Amino acid sequence: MVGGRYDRQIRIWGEHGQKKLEESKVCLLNCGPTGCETVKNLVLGGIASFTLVDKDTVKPRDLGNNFMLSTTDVGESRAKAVAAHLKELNAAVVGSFIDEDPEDIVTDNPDFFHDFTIVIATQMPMRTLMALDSVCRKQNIIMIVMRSFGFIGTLRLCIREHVITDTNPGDNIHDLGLTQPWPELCNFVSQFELDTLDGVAFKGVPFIVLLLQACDKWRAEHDSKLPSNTREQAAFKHMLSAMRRTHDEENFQEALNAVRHVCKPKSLSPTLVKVLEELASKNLCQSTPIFWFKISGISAFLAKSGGMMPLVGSIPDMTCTTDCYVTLQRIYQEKAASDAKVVEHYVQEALVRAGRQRDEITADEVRTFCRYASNAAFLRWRPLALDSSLVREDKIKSTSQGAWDYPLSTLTYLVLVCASDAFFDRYGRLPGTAIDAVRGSKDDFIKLKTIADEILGDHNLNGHLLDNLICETVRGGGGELHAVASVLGAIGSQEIIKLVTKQFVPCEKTLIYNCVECTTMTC
Amino acid sequence: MEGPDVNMQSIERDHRGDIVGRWTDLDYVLMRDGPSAGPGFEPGEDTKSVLMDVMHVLVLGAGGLGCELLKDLALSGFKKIDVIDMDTIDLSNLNRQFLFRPHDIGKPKAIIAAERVMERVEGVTVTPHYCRIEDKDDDWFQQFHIIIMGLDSLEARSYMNAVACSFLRFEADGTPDQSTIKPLIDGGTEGWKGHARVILPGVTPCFHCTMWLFPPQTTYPLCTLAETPRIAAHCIEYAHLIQWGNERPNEEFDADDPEHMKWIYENAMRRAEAFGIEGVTLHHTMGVVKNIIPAIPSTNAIIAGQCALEALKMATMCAKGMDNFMMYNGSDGVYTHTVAYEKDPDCPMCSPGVAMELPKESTLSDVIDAIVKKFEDTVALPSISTSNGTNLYMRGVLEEATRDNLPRKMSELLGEEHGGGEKLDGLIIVNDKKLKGPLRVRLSLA
Amino acid sequence: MIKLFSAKDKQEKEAKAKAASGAQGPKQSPGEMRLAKDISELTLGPTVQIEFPDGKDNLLHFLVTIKPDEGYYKGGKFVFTFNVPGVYPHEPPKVKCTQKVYHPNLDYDGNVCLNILREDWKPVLSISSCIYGLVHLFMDPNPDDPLNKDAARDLTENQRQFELNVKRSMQGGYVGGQSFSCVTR
Repeated sequence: MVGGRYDRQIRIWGEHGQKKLEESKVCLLNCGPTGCETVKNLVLGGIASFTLVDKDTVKPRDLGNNFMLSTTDVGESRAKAVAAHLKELNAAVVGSFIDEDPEDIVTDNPDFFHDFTIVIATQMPMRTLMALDSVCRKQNIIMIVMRSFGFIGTLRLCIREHVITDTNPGDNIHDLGLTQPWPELCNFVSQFELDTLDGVAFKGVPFIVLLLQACDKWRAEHDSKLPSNTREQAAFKHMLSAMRRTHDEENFQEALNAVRHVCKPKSLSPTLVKVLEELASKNLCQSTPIFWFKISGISAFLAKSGGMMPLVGSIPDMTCTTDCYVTLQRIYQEKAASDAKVVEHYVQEALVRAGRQRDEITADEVRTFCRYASNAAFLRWRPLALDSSLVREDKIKSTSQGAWDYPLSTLTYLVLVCASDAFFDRYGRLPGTAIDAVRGSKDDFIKLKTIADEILGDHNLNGHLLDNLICETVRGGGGELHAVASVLGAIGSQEIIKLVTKQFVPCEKTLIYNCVECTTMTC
Repeated sequence: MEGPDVNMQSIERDHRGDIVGRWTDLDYVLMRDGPSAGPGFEPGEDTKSVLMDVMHVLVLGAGGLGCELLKDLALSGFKKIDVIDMDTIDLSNLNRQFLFRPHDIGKPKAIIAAERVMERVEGVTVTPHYCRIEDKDDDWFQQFHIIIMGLDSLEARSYMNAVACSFLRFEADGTPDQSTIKPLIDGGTEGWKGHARVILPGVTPCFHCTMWLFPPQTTYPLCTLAETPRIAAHCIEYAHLIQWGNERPNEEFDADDPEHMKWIYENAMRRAEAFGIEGVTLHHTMGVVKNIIPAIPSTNAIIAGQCALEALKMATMCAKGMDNFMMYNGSDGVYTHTVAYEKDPDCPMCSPGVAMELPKESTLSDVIDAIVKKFEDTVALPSISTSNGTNLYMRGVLEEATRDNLPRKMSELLGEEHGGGEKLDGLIIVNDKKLKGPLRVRLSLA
Repeated sequence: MIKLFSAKDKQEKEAKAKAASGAQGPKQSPGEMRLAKDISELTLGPTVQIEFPDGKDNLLHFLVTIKPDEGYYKGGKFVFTFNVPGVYPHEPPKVKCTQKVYHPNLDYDGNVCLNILREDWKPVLSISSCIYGLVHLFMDPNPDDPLNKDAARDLTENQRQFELNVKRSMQGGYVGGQSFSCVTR
């Protein structure tokens, strides 16, 4: 609905993206501020439902860092109280809660997670996360892991496979297809006899026409080839400039700015190349997601067209008369429609070969897919287990080269998270949370440093964690500052929206947010 | 086993009346020192008291950023917060302005936001101001220790920057007088992108120093709209900018009036059809006419969170502050970049300018002569204004209107604003064709 | 990063800040500051007048009167309002003609089609450039970028007729069924 509740976000991910969001079922493990803020943003965005899992009751401490709880909730079930406050945000979203320990559910009842589109795991120890990862991975459920401690937040996505149909829908892609003009376009271009036009009409010739006429001239003099290297491009520009009458013709300026469109065919984006490689390794069958059939249509089209993508069909605004523009746009749209028809035919063939229905996909869907296909992408996340083992040669090398200096190497934070978990396992509390906080923090420093050194030793890593960093970790006491949790939770909700809508590019590695330095980094 | 029946009485309270244990997470970083701490950090109760008992902060805007800011500040230990917003709540706000409900539509944002935060967060006082920023006296802004901007307009930011810069005074050596620095924290978002920045006028670049960061708005040539429309936006802007004035000349166009919007849409549609142009929809019409910036909850929360953290760091020094501009983009992975932008040494808003001392009896003519002598390479025929916009002597078209000031005493001319006194300091602005921009002169008459 | 607040010197600082605030006048927007420069450097020929209805200290709003001494519009007196935004020169001044004029580059509502006032505005331009641009429009109306299509067509197709139309419209007469403001007094 125009001007409706979701108007401002539909302007970003479109009605189709919104629809996917509205079908999403979210499960949150642990109702601290990081998780609550994540779900808050998703509820505002209009997900289908959320389910909260938390074993705790509301403590005074929650009132200092969680906006989804207030004084009257103290003593209540935390999941229940948070669910009630979250539901106030959007009546269209269904909310429920379970008063259980999330870790128990992971071990005792892993099937529980099958009902969800997204599982958000916050403030959980690594070993439970690894178990949960393998559960979600089997069902290709989106899992997101977040942890905030002191001034630091970490975030990691765990998804078996993810395809993006549209890496950047906001960007208008104008593939003008000028290296291989088709008959209708050539016809249009040849209608312009530049020499006979008066001043006003001359200034109103679309730059596409100028470029293509210049190309004809160039080809005639250069063995039917287009300009390729920089020297030739400069010469081409020179030739184009020589066609000007004065120096204030904006259409010529536009043509000069667009010379790249005729110089070499647009190469495929690296992300699409990766998708096509993945396609080659797949055997399309009954259970293959429809995305891959669409891609196979594109692949067949590329084979036939000599590497040209189906035309997108949109053209940028340009200096020219209304009539010229409208005609040109029609020519492009008709070509795009006929390209899409070809792709549709290949998709149907592939469906039939896989023993599926020819009409499983509509012409409209293929048309939309073609529009964005040049930006399609395919991502995979490694199982979480590998993160904790630190076996990455590049990082090992950098550690021995003293990369522990402040500002910190990203691996450092992972060692810290593991060390904090080990500390918890050994002492039943997080570092920096001894009852005598000031004195206790000194003891904890030594304990945490010892554990960190053990972990580094276990993984044959040279070097050591900087004392400063251990000190700061102990200082933060594993606490969740609301604003840090709010930033991290918001990044989490953003990543979930990208994953659910299959638009834009989610973070492929572990993300570290450091609010002291105001930086994020990935490793 | 059921949990114990905890009622209000059993909650233990401290000397501040606050619930014991409530600020555990914050206490960790306020009570203990650490290597991330900022210069002069003093861990302990005193610092906590500065945050909770002394700090009085102002939030500009109760929209997407404002709602998040109020929540984040209240839960970062700030207890006295004021908020200004002139807008009322609209249905399209509800996807991110989480303090508002459908039954609040039409009510003032500032008032509802303040109510909701106080309902939820015990012990915080949020004072709403349902008005424009410009409605407040400049002096009114002095009472706040930190001003945090969650605004969507360049104009409003620039205004606030000018207010903050006008408070700034300099020591004799041109360094800023620290007691006159009014810190600003600024956030802004657009779709997946956003920025957060810290402005300490005189220390870090002010808004004006880096005005070039803001791209100018896209505008279409009026004659294209009138004669050669090609895209849907041309038709919409024609109906909006030209047709409305011609056909409904006595009515002020109001983008929030649905009938007005419908009129624009229908006329744009007719025009598009006449020219064979596609793509005019009500959705697009509203986007173009209201210059709608797409907005999502997550980006607002990220930027507001970082702004609130900067306020916390600035108030307590529990961690080093941002230096001085962070940009964020969440569309392709998660990208942040923090840059230490440089001040414009000649910024007309925040630079110290040049100090000049003259006898107390000097006339405006004397001042002009002295300036020409001092800056003989760059100033030949100067015009002189005061920093608050009184034009004392202007060359060009206002020469005649200001000529009478020349023989008047400078102390008198400045004194009209400064109330006299033994020694008179005043900031004057010198313009000259040979100068690239205004020259600031800190004049001292003794 | 500097420490601005501390428990110890808090009272002292606040007292100081208060004393300093006593010496504050109203502040100036960057637009006003830049305008002072533009206006102090502005010299006008005999065909242009400028007027500041709010006095010499409020430059954000002013009137510019153009009296062409040659060309089609000789003998007319055309008044434009200038409203300058606080973020000037980041954004251009808003300029409108107060009269209804028969001119290829003005519409009946007083909108002006002059590139530097919209799409080609740059912060290095000044009030002087805007006024010069307006003067130029009256010397040399531009039929290629029309806002009033009929006037533009008349100018290209029949200059004699265009001249007559201009004369009639400037007297407050009718052209093509439209009545125009009298601009000759």
